[in-house]
Amino acid sequence: MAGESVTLIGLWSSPFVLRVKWALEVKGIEYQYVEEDLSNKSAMLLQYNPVYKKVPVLVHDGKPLAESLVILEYIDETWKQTPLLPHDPYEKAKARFWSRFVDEKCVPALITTFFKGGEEQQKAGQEVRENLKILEGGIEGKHFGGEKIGFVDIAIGWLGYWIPIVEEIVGINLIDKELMPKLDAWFHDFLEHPVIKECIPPRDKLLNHNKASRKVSTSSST
Amino acid sequence: MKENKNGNSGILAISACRVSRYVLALVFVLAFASPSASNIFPGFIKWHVFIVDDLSNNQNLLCHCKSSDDDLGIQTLPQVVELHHRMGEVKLLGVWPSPYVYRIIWALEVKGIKYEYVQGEFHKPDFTDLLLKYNPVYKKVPVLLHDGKPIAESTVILEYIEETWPQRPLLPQDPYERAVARFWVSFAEEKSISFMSFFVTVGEEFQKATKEVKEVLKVLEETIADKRYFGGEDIGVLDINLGWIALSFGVIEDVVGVKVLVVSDFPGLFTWIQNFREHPAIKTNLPSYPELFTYYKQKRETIIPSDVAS
Repeated sequence: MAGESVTLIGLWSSPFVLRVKWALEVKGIEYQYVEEDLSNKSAMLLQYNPVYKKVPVLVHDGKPLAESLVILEYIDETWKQTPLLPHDPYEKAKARFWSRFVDEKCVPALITTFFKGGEEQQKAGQEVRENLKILEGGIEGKHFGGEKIGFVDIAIGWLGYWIPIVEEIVGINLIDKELMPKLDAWFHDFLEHPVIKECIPPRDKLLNHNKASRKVSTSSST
Repeated sequence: MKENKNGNSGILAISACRVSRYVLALVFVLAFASPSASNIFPGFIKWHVFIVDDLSNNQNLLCHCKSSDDDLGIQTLPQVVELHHRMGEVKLLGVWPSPYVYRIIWALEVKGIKYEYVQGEFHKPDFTDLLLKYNPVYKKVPVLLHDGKPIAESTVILEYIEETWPQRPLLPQDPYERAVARFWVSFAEEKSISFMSFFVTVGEEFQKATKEVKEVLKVLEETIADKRYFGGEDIGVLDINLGWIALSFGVIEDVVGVKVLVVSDFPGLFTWIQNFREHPAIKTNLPSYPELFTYYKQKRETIIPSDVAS
């Protein structure tokens, strides 16, 4: 829509920001991207997301929104081309269910696996594997949403890029290609899609960034 | 247009009136068997009405679908096809007095949707088998069954209810306002951990939890401002989501022995609690103070034996 202003405030290394980028790109929406420095938060971020002071923040014609899944739903409702959520309410419910499952179960376990050590890490790693096995069971068709890229692909596809990096850094296998063949294939497929692939941050850069943040975290914890 | 009667009772009356050259409006009045009749006649009595749009291009066939239980309003023919499932059976699996289950009860009541409530207990294998079947990922309540199809996770169920039964909307129409409402629901969900912590911890952890709870309440106080409900003039999705505060936070505070939500600090929230509890759809779906107190006291004692509680 001409004359509209869409700004995404983000961080290159955040998978939650990447979700929003993917949605905007898949729908062909013109937007301005602003890189935020979370160690020195801008006045703009504090104004637009006073509750959490985090990214991503989408600003559409001056109106700010936060929380990536909320933003995805807004994008889908506002720009109707290339619909992300299915039309049928029951299928929509399934899409929302899986997206929340990842945020509520997979993400905390993944964070613990990455930042902690010893038994806590092993336990969290096991939890990640179990959650991924559950996701494996939820896949129907080529993508989570069926044949086309949809809401769930965009909401959870980033795991296919981030988890192997976590695996490399902490030395724990999480995506078991034998136990999770469909999930593994789906991650590869999704990340190879041209629109998706173009937005992904370079692997080395992300690997080094995560290595560094892990060092800072493990050296500062008592 | 053809009709096919299937069953042994009910009156089918059709009247068609020509509104304009381009629009033909048909009004159907179908009397479905009442729920009590379906106990006498097992298997519920269905009417199948086949509607064929033979109008030429650029003309819309409008249909008004209405039964003694439901009125789906005037819709175009393609929309009618989608609507048939709304009249399907609705069941809610729950455990007393889960605040997550109450959310769904309240939403169904506010929208006037007929449902069957199946109350179970987690230690009963019949019930846990049902949960395993219909909610294999979490094995928790609430689970909504619509025409036998299960939906789990209260926020997901609420969105499904909103889309399937649009009457008495719980979300605003405007996409931005909807997103803002969803943001607050997400906030409330995330911060519920602090309230849980308030209930189950003691000592330093409890102090930390109390501080967090106060901060969340402050944000909510600013959000309610002087509105009647979070949804504005009437109950919305955030009222439903936060309704547990009106349901049981007072009881929890009494069990814990520390009052946080006091009228002097949170006048807006205090008034909201009264408004919410007095809403016609809510007030008949609120357990009593004594039974909630007994429940939460017992629960806390299993977590914190009384010789440890401060």
